[in-house]
Amino acid sequence: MTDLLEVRNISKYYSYKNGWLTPQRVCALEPISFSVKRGETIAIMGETGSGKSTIAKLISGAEVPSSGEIFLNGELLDPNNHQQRCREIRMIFQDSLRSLNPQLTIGKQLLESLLFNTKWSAAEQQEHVYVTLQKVGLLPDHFDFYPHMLSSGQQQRVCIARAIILEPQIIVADEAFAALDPSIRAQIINLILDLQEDMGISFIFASHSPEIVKHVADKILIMHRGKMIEFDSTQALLTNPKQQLTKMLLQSEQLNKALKHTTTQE
Amino acid sequence: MPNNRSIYYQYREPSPLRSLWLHMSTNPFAVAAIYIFSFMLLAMILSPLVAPYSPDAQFTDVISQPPAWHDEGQIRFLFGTDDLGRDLLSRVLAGAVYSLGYPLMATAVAALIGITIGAWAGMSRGVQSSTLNHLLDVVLSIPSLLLALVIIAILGPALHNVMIAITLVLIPQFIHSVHNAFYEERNKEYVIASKLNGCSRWYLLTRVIFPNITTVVVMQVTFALSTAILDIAALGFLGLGVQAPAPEWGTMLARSLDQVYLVPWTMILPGLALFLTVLSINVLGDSLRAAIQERVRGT
Repeated sequence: MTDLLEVRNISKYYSYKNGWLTPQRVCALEPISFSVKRGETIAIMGETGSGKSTIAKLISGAEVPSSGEIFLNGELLDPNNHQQRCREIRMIFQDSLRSLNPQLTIGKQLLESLLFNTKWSAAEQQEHVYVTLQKVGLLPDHFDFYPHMLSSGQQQRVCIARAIILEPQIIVADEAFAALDPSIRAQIINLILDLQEDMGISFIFASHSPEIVKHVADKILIMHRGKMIEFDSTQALLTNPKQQLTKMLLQSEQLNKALKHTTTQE
Repeated sequence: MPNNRSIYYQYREPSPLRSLWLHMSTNPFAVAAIYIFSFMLLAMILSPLVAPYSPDAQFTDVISQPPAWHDEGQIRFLFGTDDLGRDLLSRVLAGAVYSLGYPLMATAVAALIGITIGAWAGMSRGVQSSTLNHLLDVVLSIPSLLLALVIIAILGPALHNVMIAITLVLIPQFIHSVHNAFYEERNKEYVIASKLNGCSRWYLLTRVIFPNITTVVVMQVTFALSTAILDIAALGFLGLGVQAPAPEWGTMLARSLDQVYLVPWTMILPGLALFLTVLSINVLGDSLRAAIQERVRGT
């Protein structure tokens, strides 16, 4: 298996202007490198503000990196060329409602990407939107709905539909499951796993939840204050974590359970 | 299975315009404002046809005739006549062209120019955008009527100069509000999502962002329209705008000032027309904005 995506020394600095002359540089992500194979699932874990979302945004092209390059199949991706990137790499945002345009119907928003990236006729585009809506467990009738008319689980499904509609090779999700309740979260994760199996998509996601990560991820990337401190297969990190933080992040749930257990016994 | 879509789906989403009307029609003030404004608009358009006399025709036998509902009134002159024997109804109707038609035109031109520049400024970033913003802040700190007065002082009092002045005064307000609205929307997640869809800049501007700032535009248009009406009337009242024989409402008010105790109807009737027009526009704009917001938020 060759590397599908290769990230080389990518970093992100934000500058804030406090006074007239000296903008303050704040480091969101120090230079990191890693690679993703086809069909692989990578989880990015870390504390709040550790640079998880920044990695997701940089890969999807929502932000322009301060330095470094991203290669897809050995081909350099131009950070400002969204058309080149969006056919292969798609993003699912954290807040599904806010990432949907409130003034357009679901169908029109899904047609948007087809309009700019395919040369299909209007009827073919429409048909493809129907098929994609059915793939994510929605009905063709949802074509005419506005985002606010759907439940949060359905909105997340629409976001997934938008991500898979161009049949990309990589999907990047930024805490896409955090806002959902457990049963819907399970449905959405199973949906993504099914789609991944059907379409052979690599999936990169940032998450807080150790259970999801253990269930889904092939490899885990641990972030701490903008630095990558560990990157290995899930199995290796679970059995033999090198860093204390890795242990904490991956076992936090069990720790909670143990604590609860002791309190109920007392 | 023929057309099984209709088995579990009967509900039809009303079109955006229709749902806007559904929201509006629940508010009695909004409906009243719509009727008053459409009546004024209709009166303006049809004024050459429905006015019983020419606005300048003088009837020397009936000078300062009270309105028809008064004991001394005649049904021939529904609103009575002024001190020169001109039919007041014809004058108020003909005045609608000056006091409503011209502001509508000025607002339309100002909106077109202002929204275009505002959208361009909102999408640009860095020095370009901040220079424009600071420049506009200076212009906006001067009241519109004062600015119009300065322009009139340079160009001289005449109808076309008033139009130029009012249009110029309204443009910065449009630029400012549209620029701010665009600036706010530009970094929201749905815009980034559309950008990641590979949309062109033009599509992003017109289809993605613009529908989301219609509330701002509607607010600004109604605000600009009422400002334009009041400014043209005020300039007419001061004798700097539309000149005396023309039946502009503000000019009529100024002329009737001398005889307000003798013939009060020559002041009250044009004043009432002005008041109702501005009030209906403001109420209409406000309820339209509320309806648009409510439509998005859900029924």
